[in-house]
Amino acid sequence: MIIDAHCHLGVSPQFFLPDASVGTMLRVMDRLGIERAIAAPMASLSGQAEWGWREGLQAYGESGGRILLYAVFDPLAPASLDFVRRSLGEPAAVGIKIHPSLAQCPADDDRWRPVWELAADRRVPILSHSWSISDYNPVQKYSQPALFARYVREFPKVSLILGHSGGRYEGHVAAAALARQHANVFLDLAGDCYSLGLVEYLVAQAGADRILFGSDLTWIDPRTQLGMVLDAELSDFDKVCILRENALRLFCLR
Amino acid sequence: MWVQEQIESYRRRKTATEWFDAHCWIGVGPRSSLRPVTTWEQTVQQLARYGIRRAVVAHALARDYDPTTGNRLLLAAIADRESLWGAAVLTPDDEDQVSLGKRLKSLIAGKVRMVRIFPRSHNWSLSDWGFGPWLDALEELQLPLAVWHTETTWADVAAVCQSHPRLPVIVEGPNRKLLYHNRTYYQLFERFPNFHLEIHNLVGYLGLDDLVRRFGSNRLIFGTYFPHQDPNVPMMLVTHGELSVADQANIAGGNMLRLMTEVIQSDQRSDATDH
Repeated sequence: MIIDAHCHLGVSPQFFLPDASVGTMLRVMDRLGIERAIAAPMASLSGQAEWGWREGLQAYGESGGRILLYAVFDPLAPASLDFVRRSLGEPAAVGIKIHPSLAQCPADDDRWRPVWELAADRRVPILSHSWSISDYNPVQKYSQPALFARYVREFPKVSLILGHSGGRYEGHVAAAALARQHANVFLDLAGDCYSLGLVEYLVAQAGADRILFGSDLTWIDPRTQLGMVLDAELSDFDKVCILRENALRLFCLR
Repeated sequence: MWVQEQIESYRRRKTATEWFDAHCWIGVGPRSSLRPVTTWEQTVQQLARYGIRRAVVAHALARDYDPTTGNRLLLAAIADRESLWGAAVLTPDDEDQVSLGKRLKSLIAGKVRMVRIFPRSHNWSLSDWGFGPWLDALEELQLPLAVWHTETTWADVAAVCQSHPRLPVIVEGPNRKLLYHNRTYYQLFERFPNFHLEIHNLVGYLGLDDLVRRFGSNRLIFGTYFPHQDPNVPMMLVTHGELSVADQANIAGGNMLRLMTEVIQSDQRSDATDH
């Protein structure tokens, strides 16, 4: 039923994770009615591209195809583009993940161009981390929604998902504005982004057909965002779009 | 439609649960809010819309402007509202031990059942030399002490838990990921029976269930951080976890009610001693 379009696989050194196994992930997904999860391996985001991809393919196999993958692009790693290009040849791969804050490379930097060209060529969406300027995490400035405008304009056929919809209030406003201006911009609900009225606000600004359900699992528990959507002051039709239909369409899933 | 079944199932479970929200605010300005909630009437109505009938409320003026003014407004507003109790904001401004006790008892008489402190924002030290007499007085009355993880250090939290073992200490985690500190608060749960965690930002994957599995459910306090955050965030953690009915009831409201009962009993014992 539900498609979680923003997940991770594996652990992070930054906190204790009680259970990172695929088996438990599938059990949690079953309990919540999540049919499929699209995940970027944490190891890939931590600079260990081959290890991460291997873990990802294992998860795809172990899950019977319920866990699909984002190939992670690192603009500062010379071999990354080729690796992503090869990875996209796997049936598990349905999109590309980028993270300007982790890469410490602004989203409008020239070094991102090759991955946008690749996404256009392969007709896959790009999911990117997006956030507001933060007074305690300075690298978030590289992922401000407005910085994505350059490539969004230049590659109108590439769908960009702004992960976390800008993260905090200022970012939500900017992300929503970008989505209003560009039909190829989508917004997801992943992460600890829980402002009262957020779901209704994003739908009012961008339309229910541009919002994707995402959780940031295995960092964040999907119950937190799922409750917000199920109880939102929206039509059932809009909720179905957010929870499933938009992802089916965007990722060409059946 | 499959989604209708999911919606109804979730709402049924919410309705079947007795929620007591230990972390609400009133008087929050509309700035940086996607859905401002500014009046008492709106607060009560909105909480009811989510199925929350009882709450402990703090006044934003007490944090953002002047604790005395904010607390006074809070007490005036909750006096006639049966379903609301108060969290007073405190600063360690000069007060002798006798006055401290009287002041806290006066707050309790005004329906305050928790105090909340902001050492970092209000520029003071949560240490024995800075706040000791206050901690003694709070412990005497078992009036829970709530503090945000961003307003102090974990070392200070541990020190307070150790030096005042009968004082319920509740750490709340707004705005920044509490998740990054779970290695620390797991240890605090292990070592200090009076350490509690309010759950509105306890959003790490499997986090709530793992804490209950390891430490039981008695020290997890339901709070929403309303109106800043959507109450559904912690609610679905409770309704759709691997928790027993008893654990759900404890977390959803039983634990906070128990702490409030202990405040009243301590207050009555203290009255008896005075006489």
